[in-house]
Formats: sequence, C-alpha cells, structure tokens
Amino acid sequence: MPYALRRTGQAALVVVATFVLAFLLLHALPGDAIVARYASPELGLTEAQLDQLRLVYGTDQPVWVQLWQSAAGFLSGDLGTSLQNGAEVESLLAAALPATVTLASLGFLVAVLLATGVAVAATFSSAEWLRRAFRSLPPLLVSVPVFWLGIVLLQVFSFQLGLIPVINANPVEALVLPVLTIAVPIAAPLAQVLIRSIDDTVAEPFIAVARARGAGPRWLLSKEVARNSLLPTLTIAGVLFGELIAGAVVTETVFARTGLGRLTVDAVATRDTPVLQAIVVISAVGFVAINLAVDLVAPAIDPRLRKAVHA
Amino acid sequence: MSTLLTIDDLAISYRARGERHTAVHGVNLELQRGEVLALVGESGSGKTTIGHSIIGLLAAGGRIERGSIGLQLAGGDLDLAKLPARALQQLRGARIALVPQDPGTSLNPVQTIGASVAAPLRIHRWGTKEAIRRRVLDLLERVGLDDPERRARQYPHELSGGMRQRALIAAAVALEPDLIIADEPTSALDVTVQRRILDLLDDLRAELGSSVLLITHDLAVAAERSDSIAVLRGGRLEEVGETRSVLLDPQREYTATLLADAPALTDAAPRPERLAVEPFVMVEGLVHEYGKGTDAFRAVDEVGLGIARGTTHALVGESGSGKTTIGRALAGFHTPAAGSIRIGELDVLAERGSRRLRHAVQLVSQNPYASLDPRRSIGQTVGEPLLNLPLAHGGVRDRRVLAERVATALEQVALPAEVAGRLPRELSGGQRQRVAIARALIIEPQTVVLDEAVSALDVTVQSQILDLLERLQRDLGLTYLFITHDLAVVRRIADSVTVLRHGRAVKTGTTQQVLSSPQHEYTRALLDAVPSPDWLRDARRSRPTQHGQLEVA
Repeated sequence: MPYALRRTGQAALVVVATFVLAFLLLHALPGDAIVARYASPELGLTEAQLDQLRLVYGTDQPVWVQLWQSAAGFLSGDLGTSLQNGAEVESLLAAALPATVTLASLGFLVAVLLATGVAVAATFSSAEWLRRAFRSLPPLLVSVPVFWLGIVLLQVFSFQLGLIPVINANPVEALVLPVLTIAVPIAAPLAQVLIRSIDDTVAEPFIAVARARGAGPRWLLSKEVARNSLLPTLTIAGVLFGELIAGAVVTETVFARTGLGRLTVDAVATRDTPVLQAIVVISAVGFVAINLAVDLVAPAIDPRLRKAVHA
Repeated sequence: MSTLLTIDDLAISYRARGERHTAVHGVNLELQRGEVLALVGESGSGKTTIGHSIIGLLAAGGRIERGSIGLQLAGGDLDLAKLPARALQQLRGARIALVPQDPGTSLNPVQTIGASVAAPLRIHRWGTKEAIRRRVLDLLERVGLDDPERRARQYPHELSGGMRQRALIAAAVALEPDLIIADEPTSALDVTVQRRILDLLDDLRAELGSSVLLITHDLAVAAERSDSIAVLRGGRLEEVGETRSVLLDPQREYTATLLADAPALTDAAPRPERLAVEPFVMVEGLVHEYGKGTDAFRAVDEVGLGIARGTTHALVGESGSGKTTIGRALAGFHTPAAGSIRIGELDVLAERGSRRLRHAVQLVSQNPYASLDPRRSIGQTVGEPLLNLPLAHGGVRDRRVLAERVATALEQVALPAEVAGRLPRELSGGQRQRVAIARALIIEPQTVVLDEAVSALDVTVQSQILDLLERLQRDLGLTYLFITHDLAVVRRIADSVTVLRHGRAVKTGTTQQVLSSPQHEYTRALLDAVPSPDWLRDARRSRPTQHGQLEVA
C-alpha cells in the first residue's frame, strides 16, 4: 500500500526534522549547562577547569559534530547522560515515562468518554433545555486553564470534601484528580468538534431518509450518525494529543507527581540539554505516531477515502 | 376503487425568528388506492411541506395547526396528524415510504448499498439476517441493478445517480408500502435516466398496488405520470382534479400560466433562421483530458462548432458528456490538450488570463446562490469586475461612476436599483440568477457562456429569464453558448445545436434540423425522454392562440 508507506515516510521525516531543530535551538541558547551547573561562585572552579569539564562532556566541539554524535547515539539507543546529575537519560526516562503514560492515556480515555457523553446529550436529548445546557458546557470548559482546574479540584475534593486523601493516597486515589485535570481541557474542544459534526450529519438528507424508514433516535445515532461524525473528531483528537503532553507538565507539577512533565520542568530549570533533547524527541515520536495512526485508520471509517488511497 | 389518503383542511406553520408563518393554509386532497396524485407548484408552494407532514418529517419548528391526514388501511383508519410519535414511527418505511429528491446525498456515504436497502427491513424486524440478505438481493435485482451481489457490497460514491435512485427505490418498496411519497424523485437526474426511473416507479406501483404521491415542479412529468393533479401556490390549493381535465381545461389562470411556461409542453415557434456566412465563435478540434498517462480520461474528443454573431448555440447532452468542459474552455478557464478557439479576431487560448479575453467572453454558471459571495452586497458583487480590470481595459475606480454602471447593469436585467444594497440570501432564486447575468454583462462582453443557467429555476421564473436573455441578445448583439440538458429549453432559445455524447459531437446543425428530424439515435433517445404526453401536446397545438394569450410579462 503506497499510501501507508508514503505517510510513514513523512512521519519519519517529521521526527528527524524535530530532532535537528530541537538540537539547534537548544544549542543556540545563551550559556550552557556547564556554566549553569559549575560556574556558581561557591564551587570556585577556574575557567581552565570548566574547559576541562566541557572536554569531558564534549560540548567544546563544533555544533555539527555534536549533532552527529547525538544522532548516532539516539539511533543506537544511547540518549546521552544528564548534565545535571550524570545519570543516563534512558534510565531517567524509564523512571518517568510509565507514570506519565498512565496519566495521559487514562486522561485521554476519560476525555473521549466525557466528550462523547456531552455531545450525545447536547444533540439527542429529548428536552430542549437539556440540549442547550449541554451545548454551552464545552465553550465554558475550553476557557478553563489547566493549573487553575487542578488547584480547584484539589481544594474542593481533597481539602473541603475530604473525599480523596492528599497524603498516603493509594495509587488509584492518587490518579483520580490528575486524570480529571488533564481530561477536561481535552474533552472540551473534542466535544465542540463532535457536536458540530453531529449537527452537520443530522442535517444531511440521508438522515431524513432514515427517519422516513422508521428509524428511531437509537438507530439514527448508532447506525447513521456515529460513523459519519467520527472522522473530523478523530483528526482533532490526534492534534489534541499535543495538549496532553503540555497538560502533563502542569498537572504533574500541581499534584507533585513524578513523570515526564516534572522531568521536563526540572530539565528546563537546569538547562539539561541532553534530557530536554530526549523529551522533545519522545514527545514528537508519540505525536507523530498518533497522527499517523489517525491517517491510516481514516480510510477504514470512510470508504470515500479509499479510492484516493489507492490512486 | 377505495380511497387511501384523505387530507382534510390541513394547515401547517413554521416558526422562524420567533414568529409563526403559515406555510400551508387548509388544503384538501384525496388519493385513491393504486393511483398517482401529483402535487405541482413552484418552490414555496407548500408541496414538499405537505408531503413531509404525511410522513412526519416536518423540519424543525414545523407544526400541523389543524386538519387531518386520514390513512385508510386494511386494519382501520388512522389520522396521521394526531397519531402519537411512536405509532407514526412504525408506519414510516413500512406503510408509508419516501423516495427522496437527491440520490447524491440521500444515501449514507459510509454504508454499503446493501446495508441501506436492508435498513427498513431491519428497523421493522422483518426477518432473520439471512432472510433480509436474500430479500435485499431480490430487491436490487427487481429495481434493475445488474450483479446485485456486487452492488450490495459497493458504497454510494461508486454508483451513478440513476443507480443510487434505484437503490433508494428498492429501500422504499422493501416492505411493500401502501403509500409512496416521491419527492421530486428525478429532478437531479438526466432526462434519459429520469424516464427509466419513472417507468420503474410506475411498474412497482402497479405490481404492489401502492399509491404514489408525486411531488414535482415539472408539469410535464405530472402530466405524463399522474391520474390526478393538485396545483399549489403559496400554500393554497389552486386547482385539483383528474390530470387530463385540469391540464386540458385549466380553470385557474395560474395553472394556465404554469402550462404556458413549461417549455416541454409548448411548441414554441422555431426561431427565424439567422445563420451568418461567417461564424463569430469558432471551436475546432477541441480535445480535453483529465488525468495523465494511461489513466487519462478524454472528456472532450475532437469537438468543433461555429456560432454566428448574435445567435445562440446550445450544447446538449447528459451529465459527463463534456458540455461544461467545452464551455469553460471557451471562457478561457482551462487549456485544452489540442484544438483552437477563436472569438472574432481573438485567439482565446493565446489570450488565456489576459484582460482582453474578459471582454470577449463571460461565464454565468448554474447555481446562482453558490456563485455569489454571501457576505457581499449585490452592488459590490456586480461592480467587482470593473474594479478588477485595469483602467486601460475599461476598469472603473470612481465610486460614482461605479454606482451608475451597477445601476445600469441591474436595470438591464430588470432588477430595481435598490437591490444593490441587499445580500444574496435576501433575493429569490430568479433574482439571484439575474444578478449573476448582470455581473457578466457589466464589462460588456461579446459572448456569454450560460452553463445550465436556468436549470435550477421554477418554470415561470425560467421562462422570464429566457425572455430576458433573448431581449439582451437583441439589444446588445450578444452571442450565447447555452449549455443545458433540457431539450425543451433548447427548442425555445437556440438557433443551432450541438448534441454531445461521451465527449463527442454526435450531431451539429440548426435547431430545426437537429430536433425536428433527429437523424442520430442518441438525439432521438434524448428527445423521447422529454416527458410530454401526446394528448396534451396535440391539444395545445390545436389551440395555438391560447399560448399567446396567457404569456405573462
């Protein structure tokens, strides 16, 4: 299937471009990690000793040599060492990734369920006031900042209602509020798109034809509307994956969880370029993979796309 | 014979911007078992609203105000206007079925044809999965689709418009309904396909003993296919009765006007032959291909034609015959693979994209709504070409001059000057088409390509626009290339004709030559497909004065 091959090639190109761009940008930052870590007056290191350190970490070489070495390292699975504590970047990621993947995938799942529920209620409720109420929900939630939502949830559910302990929470309890915090800002735009695309589908003549065949709301929703409304929503869902990564940074900070988000914050604060480089590339791979999957799944949902695929 | 449907004093209203408007004002109708009742009228006459109220599909905000819709079934009489939603839902698709207007959008694009046809059977729990599968294949075969197994697996976009309409008919008759509501079932189809689809509906009606409520704007279709006819106007019943007696002896002036305006039913006197020795527009050996290499599809294949100055040449053919491609090539919108096009002294292909070409030829396209920018006022739209042209080529920058030119252009197409301040959506379809013509004429072209310019309009409006085009041609000496699928319109407006099929010109000549003694089998097929019952045409021919009397300004 040449279409799948072509799209996969494009995806790989995006990852490579991201790698190079991130490397160059990080390199262009004024000062380096050596200065950030060792140049503080208390350590009292001389300029010559700093140069020695640069030699050890390889930061004295020309940028293209460093880029090449870094790329070769990534390809062989060696992501380099943290400038901050000398730990291997792989092990840092291995420690942070599972928590974030759990948080993000649960958050995404909850977001999809929330969005679907709100969209269906907003379009198929029998009472008009109910439809209106659900319709106004997503625009409201879209404008809520993640950090604020996290703090409010924490305040209400943990401190005031005492439903979820802040200290000594079991793993499940510890996940509830962060997952909600990360899910709502994704669910809201998702629901907006879904409502819009259900509206568009319902206005199509074939829906009137289905009703003329005696179809009730349940048949209309499951057999006629669902699949037609899915495609635009799926595309947006792929794009919103980026929000998930950004959301993880804020959520993990607010709820003091370990994970990729916290690792990012720390790495930025200490200008730990190898760690940042690895995080950017990992995020890009995730983002590109999700969107590639969306593109490859689309023809399965809409037969009209299959022709273009074969052409 | 027994009555199936009795509509008594039916009134329907719609809510728009907080106000209720009455769309149907107390209509009485009766439909006998096994017969066809045609509802005819212009857009806005309420014919579709009545049809939709019977099947319970009134658009949001629509409500039956009073009256009853009685359905006399074997199991007893029902009043559809008062039936609870649940009960109505059980009748839909089972006892009352719908054949929709536009087969292009009436099938779920992500469902196979088989699944669409199976839908009514599954909704009404007709039988086991296997039984339904077999029934679907039988139905597809019955409506004349070849290789039903394969068709059932295909998706709507893989089928032609006529095949899609057949599939929709299969779904409609799946449960052998007592009443079939056919809402403009063929207005989106070519004439030859239209005839076959109407024949199929007729056959099925006879076979199942169903009644058909045929909603159409086409009086000729109604004349040919219905037992009785109801003429509607502005939500009121103008006239109702047996089709022959209504059409042969219309009691209401409005019915007579509709008849006079229906091009298929009028034997308009052929235009006087005005063939100049030298053609003004010359198209020679035109070839246009879509796609590349071995996949290339030849949409236009070696077509040549000549149009004398100040005359109208019609391009006719079914969809896909290449007529629009030729029109667009003449207007300089794409470069053909081979051939030459001249307008007067101008080589169109060499001048492609030049300002000079815009004075030589303008294009008016089919859908006047889609071709007008919804956010610009009519005045802005009509004046735009003058702003785009350089001053040296007749462009205008001065506001006052521009306003005057716009007013003149609107006057030419018989629109009041104050229309300039309005938006497209505030105008009727006919007015919009006039605006599109005014926009084409404002830079004073010599030639106008009219691509299905009257096809989307009601007959009465269509007749007015055709009159307007003829007047403009006389006054301004315009040369028209008139693209249409409607041979009846050709007879009325064209001096000469080219009949196209699969991108080839099968016949070229004067309208008289081509239409009166059709030599080519395809031209004959096209002519035969125009619905126009002999009894009506003969009757009208014997009373030629009536047409003149009833012609409206």
